[in-house]
Amino acid sequence: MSAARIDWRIVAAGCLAVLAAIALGGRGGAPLVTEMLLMALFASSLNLLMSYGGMVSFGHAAFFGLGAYGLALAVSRFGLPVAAGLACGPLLAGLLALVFGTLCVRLSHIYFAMLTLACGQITFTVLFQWYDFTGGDTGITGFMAPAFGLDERWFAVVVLGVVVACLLALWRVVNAPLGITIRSVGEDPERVSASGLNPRRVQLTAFVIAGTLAGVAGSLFAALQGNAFPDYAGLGFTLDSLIMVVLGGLRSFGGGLYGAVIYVLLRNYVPLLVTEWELVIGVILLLVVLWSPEGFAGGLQRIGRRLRSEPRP
Amino acid sequence: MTATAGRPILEAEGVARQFGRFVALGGVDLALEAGEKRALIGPNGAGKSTFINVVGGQLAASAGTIRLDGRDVTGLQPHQLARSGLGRTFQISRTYRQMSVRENLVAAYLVARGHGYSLSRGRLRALAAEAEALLERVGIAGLAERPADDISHGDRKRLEFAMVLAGEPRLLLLDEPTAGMGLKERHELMDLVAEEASGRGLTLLFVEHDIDVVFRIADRITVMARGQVFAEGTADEIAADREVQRIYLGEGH
Repeated sequence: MSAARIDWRIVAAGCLAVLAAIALGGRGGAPLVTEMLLMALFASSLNLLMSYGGMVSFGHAAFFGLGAYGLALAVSRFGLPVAAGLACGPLLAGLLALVFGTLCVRLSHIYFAMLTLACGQITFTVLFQWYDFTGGDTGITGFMAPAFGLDERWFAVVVLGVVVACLLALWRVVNAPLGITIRSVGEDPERVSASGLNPRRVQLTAFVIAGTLAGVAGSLFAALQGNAFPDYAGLGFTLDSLIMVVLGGLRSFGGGLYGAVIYVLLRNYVPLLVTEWELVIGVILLLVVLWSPEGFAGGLQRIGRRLRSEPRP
Repeated sequence: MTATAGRPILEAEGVARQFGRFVALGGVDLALEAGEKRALIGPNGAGKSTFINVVGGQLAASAGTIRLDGRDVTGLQPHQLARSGLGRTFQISRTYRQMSVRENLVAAYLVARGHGYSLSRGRLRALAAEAEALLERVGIAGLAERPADDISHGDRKRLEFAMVLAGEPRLLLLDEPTAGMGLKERHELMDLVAEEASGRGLTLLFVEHDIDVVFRIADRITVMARGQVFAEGTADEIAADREVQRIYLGEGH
């Protein structure tokens, strides 16, 4: 995790690969790629907290869900145009991240995690129960044409643009002084405090950035489906994001990205082979944690190091 | 207490700290003149670290007042105290273990200069030369690329000291700066500390178990026992004090 410039060749290669998958992926390709991209952004936002800020959130889907509801409510209840709604989603998520974050960063470690769990469950419950406003368990549907009525492939291209822009912004953050500060707090908040900066405020800043980006992912997810359901803020999505980060690799910027690609592929293709696909994911997670605790990215780095230090004739 | 010229930079009055029913500090009075080097000695459990932690803001005082440059700073948070000119190291050195030595120091500079939230990478480049020079001065420039986790205990102490210096403190609290170090390393580190403190006009308060180091560096010595100040004076006065010899110097010598 050293501060580095953006390698535009990698960015370009990644974008081309995604575009190729969209173009050549057939009927199911574009939606799968879109889901992957949105999960990549969602997981990367959590990765900012976990890999850089040293914070494990058990309620991160709250902000994904709030992003979705920000859009759905703005359009269905307040009659705003969809474009404005897409701004409302991340805004709502960011605002609630500020509120919940202020509460959660008062404590550390498992206590922080429990507070985020509580905030996540509160969000889910409000969305689930407030029938008059949020539609309760029936969610909000029919407020917009799924994918803006665009062809799924074009929608995937739009999502690619937004996700790449968000990830570049995130890269910028983690490699700027702010990123160093966030990592410092992740490593030793007492040292940061003794150096003259309130670590809680740094944690809150990271929490709001992460919540807002999760909100972007959630908004676009709602736009893709043309609906919003309480599940988007539920424990299932939170667990998805945690699993993606761990699979992809803690302590790596690409962790969320790799994790999302692997996880979405597994979730889509393993059920075709076995009915108990959760079992397969569970076993894979177990193997990763035991043998490559730094996930796919850590494994890649190890292979890279081995290749460089032991050149085979 | 002796009356010397100038105003004390640090004044502690009746500073107390309890943990449940255990009295770790039972009303400590201590004043530091600007620029002096004061050693804090005493047997284990005397309350030295507790006192440092209360002054540094890591622990709240149960009673008493602490003034920094005449300003009441009792109850302030560590980051507020740091901004008021107080720098400290910890008994078990605190650094950012997964970050490189250079990044550790850059992080300290960013905070000290108020750029902790900046998004400008130009700030990092601007600090690089300064960080390099300070690493050079504390003798770990050769380790700049290494993760802080990967360097020796003594070098990590040097790194933490450099991180504190980056904050340009006026008052420096060092809690057992040489704990766990070899004899030679220990003297080298403390000579560096003394040199930097003198050069920068810093006031130094350090907890130290090695009496040789204490006598070599300290202008004055405060002896604590059982949460109280037991004696205070110059090195000679303390060395001649029979009671001090009985409770402290006698042990392990």
